[in-house]
Amino acid sequence: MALESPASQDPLLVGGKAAQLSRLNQAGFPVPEAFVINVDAFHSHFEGCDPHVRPARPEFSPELAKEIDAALQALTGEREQPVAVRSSALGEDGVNLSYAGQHSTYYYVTRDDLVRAVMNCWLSLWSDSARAYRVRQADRALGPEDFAMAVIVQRMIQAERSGVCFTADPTGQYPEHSLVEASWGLGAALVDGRVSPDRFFIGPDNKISETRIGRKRFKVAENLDNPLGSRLEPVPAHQQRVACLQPEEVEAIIALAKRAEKLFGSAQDVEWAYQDDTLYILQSRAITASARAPEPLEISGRWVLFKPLAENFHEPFTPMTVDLFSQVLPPLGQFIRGRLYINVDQLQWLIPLKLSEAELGELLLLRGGSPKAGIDWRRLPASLGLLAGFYLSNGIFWHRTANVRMETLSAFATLTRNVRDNADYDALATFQRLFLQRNFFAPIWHQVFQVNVSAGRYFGLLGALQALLKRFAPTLDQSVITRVCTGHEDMLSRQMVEQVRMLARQAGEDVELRRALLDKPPEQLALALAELPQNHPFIVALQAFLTRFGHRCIKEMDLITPRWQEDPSAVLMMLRNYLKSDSVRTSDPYGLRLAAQDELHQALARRWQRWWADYLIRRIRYYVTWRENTRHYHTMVFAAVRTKLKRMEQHLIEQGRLRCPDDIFFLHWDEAKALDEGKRSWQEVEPTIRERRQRHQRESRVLPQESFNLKLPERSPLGGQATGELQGECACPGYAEGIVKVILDPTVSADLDPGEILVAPYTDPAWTPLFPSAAAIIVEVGSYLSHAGTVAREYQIPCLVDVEACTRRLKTGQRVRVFASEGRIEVVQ
Amino acid sequence: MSVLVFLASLPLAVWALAAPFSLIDDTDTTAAVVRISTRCLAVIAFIYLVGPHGRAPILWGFLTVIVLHLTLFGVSRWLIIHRGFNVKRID
Repeated sequence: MALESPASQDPLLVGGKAAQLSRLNQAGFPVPEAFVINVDAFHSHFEGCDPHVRPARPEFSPELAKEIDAALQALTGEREQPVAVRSSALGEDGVNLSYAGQHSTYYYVTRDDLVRAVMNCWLSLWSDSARAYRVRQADRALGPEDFAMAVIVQRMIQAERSGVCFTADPTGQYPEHSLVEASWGLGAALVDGRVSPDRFFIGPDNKISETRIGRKRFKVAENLDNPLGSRLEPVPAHQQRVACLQPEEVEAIIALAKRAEKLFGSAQDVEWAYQDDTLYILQSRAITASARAPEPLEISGRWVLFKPLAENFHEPFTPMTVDLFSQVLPPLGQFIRGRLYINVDQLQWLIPLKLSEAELGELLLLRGGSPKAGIDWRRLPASLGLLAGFYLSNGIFWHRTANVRMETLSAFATLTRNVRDNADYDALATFQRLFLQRNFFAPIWHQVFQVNVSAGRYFGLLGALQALLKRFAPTLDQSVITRVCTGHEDMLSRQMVEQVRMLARQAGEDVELRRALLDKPPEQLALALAELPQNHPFIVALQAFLTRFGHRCIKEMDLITPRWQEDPSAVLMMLRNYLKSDSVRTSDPYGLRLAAQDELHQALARRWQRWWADYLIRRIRYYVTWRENTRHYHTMVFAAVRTKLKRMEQHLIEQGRLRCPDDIFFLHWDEAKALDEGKRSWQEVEPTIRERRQRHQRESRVLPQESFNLKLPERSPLGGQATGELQGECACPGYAEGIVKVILDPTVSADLDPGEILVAPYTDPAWTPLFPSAAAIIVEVGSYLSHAGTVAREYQIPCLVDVEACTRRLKTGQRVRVFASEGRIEVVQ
Repeated sequence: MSVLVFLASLPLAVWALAAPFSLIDDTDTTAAVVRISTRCLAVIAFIYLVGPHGRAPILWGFLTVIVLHLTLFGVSRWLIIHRGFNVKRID
């Protein structure tokens, strides 16, 4: 049945997907030519089959095979052109259910394989995942009388770029916006969740309001030599982080999708592809619940997002990271949809204050100042008991971390290297060994996680210093605390910035290299660097830098993220930024601190007050440095575990038990282990991997839910571009005025001119080298304790954190005034 | 009185028992020895102050801290290695 036939618009005859395609085709949309094998053919092969019991593979009807062959000839002509074979079950792509990813689709099917592909498509109705999906959605699925599938045979579009377009924001957060997701090659890579796509948010005026470039490491190639084998190909490094669509192409896609929305009368999820610069629509369906934000979860207990971890990145952890992390997580914490939450019911016993549910949530989310709440005497004994118990059982560790030299921590790097290179340790054992020291009498620097946690006590000491100054020097500007507690020469984040600066200086001395770093696109830059002799001072310095800091990267706590050692392009981007201008900010840690200390001493009248203040400052400086440095070391553990997992993955791919790179990160450890031991096969884990990849992609689109079963006060709804003031929490006081530069990912764009105001969604140590160029820093998430605040204070850069949706409300090029001390931003232009 | 001595000896025990670890935690052996000596003197002074009747409660205080500390270390290690710490996965 041709798509042009009026009968092909009947969803009960050709299934939901084919009916939609037919309507699009007949309305003049650029739909690839296709024909449909209607449900009668299905019934003739599977009459009376039980939807829940997989039938034996029937003999394909010879008459039907002949008809299909004739239709194929009519479709492709005399030339043997490959086709795509797509499922179109009854109810598929409907308003209630999409069945997205549940049934099979085959690409590059040749004439010889067509009949087999059609049969496989039919049989995919009984796949494990499709049956499970029907059971899960039993209340919305069609009845057994409507259990049937048509099959679409479509001319193969050899897409250079493809993706999906949602005419209404599928996350439900920005109803006025549309979203286009795009990637290289065929859309299967994106639909299967194998790539992190480029995302273009389009405002009501049909103009792009925000672009987020994804890391498109793989693609399903436009020309497959071996369609039945692994379909994934690596994307060249220079293409991974560049937008795969031009703005006018995005606008063309959205215009077409809006037309489809008008035609069908509801918001659409449109699959599109570009071949030879021609845009095609491959399918269109109503946006279903599955495409929207994840459905509500039924969870017992009250949970709130663990802010100190959430502030490091927006995206959820991959399943392998969650699984390994969970092994070492006390029951107080729990991963929900890839994000870490803490249990409020348990935690409130540690907080003996009379707090309402909302106040407690706000406190745990580190929003606003300290609540003015009275003591809850009922809960006080239990809280004190718990704290005393904790101190008595853990206090020795606590005291051991109080007087240790910074350089001793470097031994942890050696330990990590030894464990990483020891074949007796698998990924889990590596994680356990490095997280929890086997020997009670091992040095404290073998236990960097515990040291990191214990160093958080500086926040309490900071409170004590604030109280002291408030009481005995009330007229003193409180910003003196920030100045007096900076200048940590031993802080590794600071040393990393200095080393990048030195690298830039070294590169600047070689005119050719400087020009290459500034002007060449990344792929040519890599070639230029490869041509340099191994003993070139810059190469030697770069190697030294990567040896010391190469285990770091953006989103460094997720095991799926490649480290700088593996892909140093982010480091080269930072170098380029430094080379652009020599006037990036430097700081004089001694001078600043000594001047502030003098000011403080003059304000305090008594000697004991000065002694007490000096003691607190010494301790704060010590613990702040410990906290930053232990993070540097414990991220080595993630790098070591990643190395182990990649080795295991390589082995599994060679054995044919895994097909695609990075799939291992979508398994749990037990599953990967079973695969490695031959107890499970690729066929068994493939649906799980596909489902988790799709879910991960869906959840990456949305901001994390701040709490479960806890009522928090609603924040004011957000508009589009800011017109007035924005509020945030001060992480480093000061004032600055300048031009906004929104940077969503420093590995894509790190072009920050000196004096510009950096606006970022989150920051982690890999962002640090950008900081000295900025006049001020505005971050969407975070708190006083967060990395952005700590490093900003080092460089005395005014910094505001927890500025809601600032990356969307502020635009690059706007002029703003940042009153960091007052926690507000004024938009001037 | 004995209870008070016992309770007072608990934080003292935590503080004092952390000192010997300086020998393996700190590269500066002199500083470690000074730290151990200071804390030993503090414990001796405490024993002297409470008199002969307080020795048993102090001993119990030290034993309690050692047992609690070893228990926390042992149990958490066992739970992590046997994967019983946090078994739920909410996807």
